[in-house]
Amino acid sequence: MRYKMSSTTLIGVVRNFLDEYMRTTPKKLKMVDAYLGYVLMTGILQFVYCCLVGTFPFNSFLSGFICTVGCFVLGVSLRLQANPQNRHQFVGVSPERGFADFVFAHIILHLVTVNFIG
Amino acid sequence: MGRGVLVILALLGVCSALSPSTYLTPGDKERLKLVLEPAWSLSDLAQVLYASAGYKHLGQVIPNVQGVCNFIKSSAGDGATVETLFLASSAGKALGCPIEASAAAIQAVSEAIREGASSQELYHAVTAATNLGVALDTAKVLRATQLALKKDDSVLSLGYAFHVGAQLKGEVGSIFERIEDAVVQADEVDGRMLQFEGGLSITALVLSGAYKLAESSNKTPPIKPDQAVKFANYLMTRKSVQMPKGVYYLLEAVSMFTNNKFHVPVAITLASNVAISADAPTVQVRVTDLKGNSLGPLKVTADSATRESDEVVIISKEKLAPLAGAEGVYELEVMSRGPARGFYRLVVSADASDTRLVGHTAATLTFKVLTAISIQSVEIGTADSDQSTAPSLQRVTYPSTLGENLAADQHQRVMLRFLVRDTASGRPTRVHQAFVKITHVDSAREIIFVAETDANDLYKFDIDVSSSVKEFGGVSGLYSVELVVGDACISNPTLWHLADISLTFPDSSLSSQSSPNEYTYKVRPEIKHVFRSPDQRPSSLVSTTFTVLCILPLFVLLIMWYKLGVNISSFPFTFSAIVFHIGLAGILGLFCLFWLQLDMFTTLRYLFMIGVVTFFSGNYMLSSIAAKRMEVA
Repeated sequence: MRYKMSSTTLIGVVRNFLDEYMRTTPKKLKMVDAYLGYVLMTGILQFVYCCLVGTFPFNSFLSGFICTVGCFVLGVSLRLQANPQNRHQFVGVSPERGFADFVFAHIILHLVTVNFIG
Repeated sequence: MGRGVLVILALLGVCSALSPSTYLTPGDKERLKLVLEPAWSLSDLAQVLYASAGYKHLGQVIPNVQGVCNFIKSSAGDGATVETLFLASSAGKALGCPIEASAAAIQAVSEAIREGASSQELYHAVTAATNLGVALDTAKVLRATQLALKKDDSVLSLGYAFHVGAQLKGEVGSIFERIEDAVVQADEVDGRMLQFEGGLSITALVLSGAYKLAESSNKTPPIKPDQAVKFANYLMTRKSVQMPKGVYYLLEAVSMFTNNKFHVPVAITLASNVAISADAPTVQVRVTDLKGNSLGPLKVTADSATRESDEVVIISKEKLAPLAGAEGVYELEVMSRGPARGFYRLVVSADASDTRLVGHTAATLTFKVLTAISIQSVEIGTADSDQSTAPSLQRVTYPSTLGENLAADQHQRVMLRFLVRDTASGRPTRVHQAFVKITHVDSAREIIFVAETDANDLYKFDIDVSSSVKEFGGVSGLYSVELVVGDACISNPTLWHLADISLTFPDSSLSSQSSPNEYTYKVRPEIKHVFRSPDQRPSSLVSTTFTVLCILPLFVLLIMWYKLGVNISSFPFTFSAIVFHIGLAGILGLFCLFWLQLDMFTTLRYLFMIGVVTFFSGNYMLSSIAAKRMEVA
């Protein structure tokens, strides 16, 4: 009944969604989500800087910004693999295996980023 | 009205004008002879044939005929091939010492005329047989030729077949019919030439073959008169050929075109100088065949003479008089008609009582009429730049030089006026070139100015001394003033030293003078490469703020993780876990070092070392966690 009542307003929808999220999502996924949020914020900050101040030095901006994009993509991948709901899609890929891939990909990404940042 | 019709007629004449515009001049003949001459070293039989036939066509005397004949006879000894026999017997015929046929030669030639032979082989064999006096079986040769043409019906093959047919007795209509096939394959160039693909030798071979065949079968060849003229035009463009073989074919075809029953192209050329003036008032026209031989007395008419610049017709339908003492040359007096200066187009036709003549109408020739000019009303002087006083001008008459020296400084202008008068018409006229040359007497440095005309054709030249410092290089001193008058159509181009003038330039300009030498050879300023200057960096306050802002989300992350209740207490204090985390930290630290000081290769070496340790420890740790999870499950 409460669902029906609150669904009429946008705030109700958001509150309902958060409620559902806090109750049903495993803690590990919440941690990954927090990481994703962090990366997103960093990326947005860099973009704001670029809009306000300019892209010079361009390679540094590019490497920093694309690094956050890469981290975000890798984080999403980790979340997909670690989500118990997607278990049947990743047969034979344990959450630990996913984490190992995540760490490995990050090492490569950061090596390239640091090389390009100048 | 009448003039308009004449102009149209003249234009039509130009459009249809198609006549060989050149012939083999004595100079051409001499050059062709030089090309053939090396053959008399008697090293190559083919060259000897080309040279002996070529000399015959050129009307030259062959040196050491007996020696050449002996060389040919020895070449055509026993065991000679059909081709050798063809070359030797043809050369012998041209030299007038026919070689005798040996039994072996007759046999070789007879055997070569067989079904399956190419038309070239048949041509060699049949020609050799004709020269050696061997009787030919017309039916057999015709059959073999038809077979050869069936196998290869190219223009070259047809050309050889025509020559074969021309040497046969009896009915050769089956080959004669093929002339049309060959002629339609000729390519037209610029609408005034016809040639066969393959160039001079093929074109000449086919032409001479076709006309010989037509003569032997007593039928007009299916070649139209204008086609014959176009072929002749092509042959004439190739008269500068450098190969003995080419000369041979060219002369064969040209001789054929001067002496056959059907078409004789007429070359109408200018015999006099292109320039007609009061001293040489006649246009002379030469009417000859392609070899430059006279065609007998002809009635030669000038259809029209038109000035090219304004299409004014000065002559129409006038008969040219034969020039005494030069056969084939006709002349027309032009200057008595008071022609204006300029280029004229003359259209000439010769009458054709001889129906063989082709290309004898509407030949276009160009001549120019020169007239004398006189330079009159010459005034030179100076005037003040600000025009406060009237210019002081002095008269000079050609060809004298002004007695006193003029003087001009930077406040004055130098002025010159003159009139160029055409002595024939007595009217002022314009010329292509009217220059004033001012030369520094000491250094011989020249400055040339163009004199301009006004509406009344009065030439004017006017320089402001102060504004022409640059042209003169600021060098003061005595200068000579000369007048240059020239034109393609005047008979007395003039260079006249008319005055001397002393020019004074301001002293300051002396220091700025630079000679061309100095400009060319002086050391130029060094070019230094400049990198693009970096853009303005933001102030350190802005960048520091943003650095801090970028770090802030990290704390947000830690806080969120804390709120979520990360249980660090369950951290497995095993050896592998500690090594793994230290390894990860080490890698991140290494990246920082890479950013700050290391290069890629050192970094990769360290990364490999740390990476291996981290990998194994991480693998061990994660698999133990996974195993623990399984147990719990």
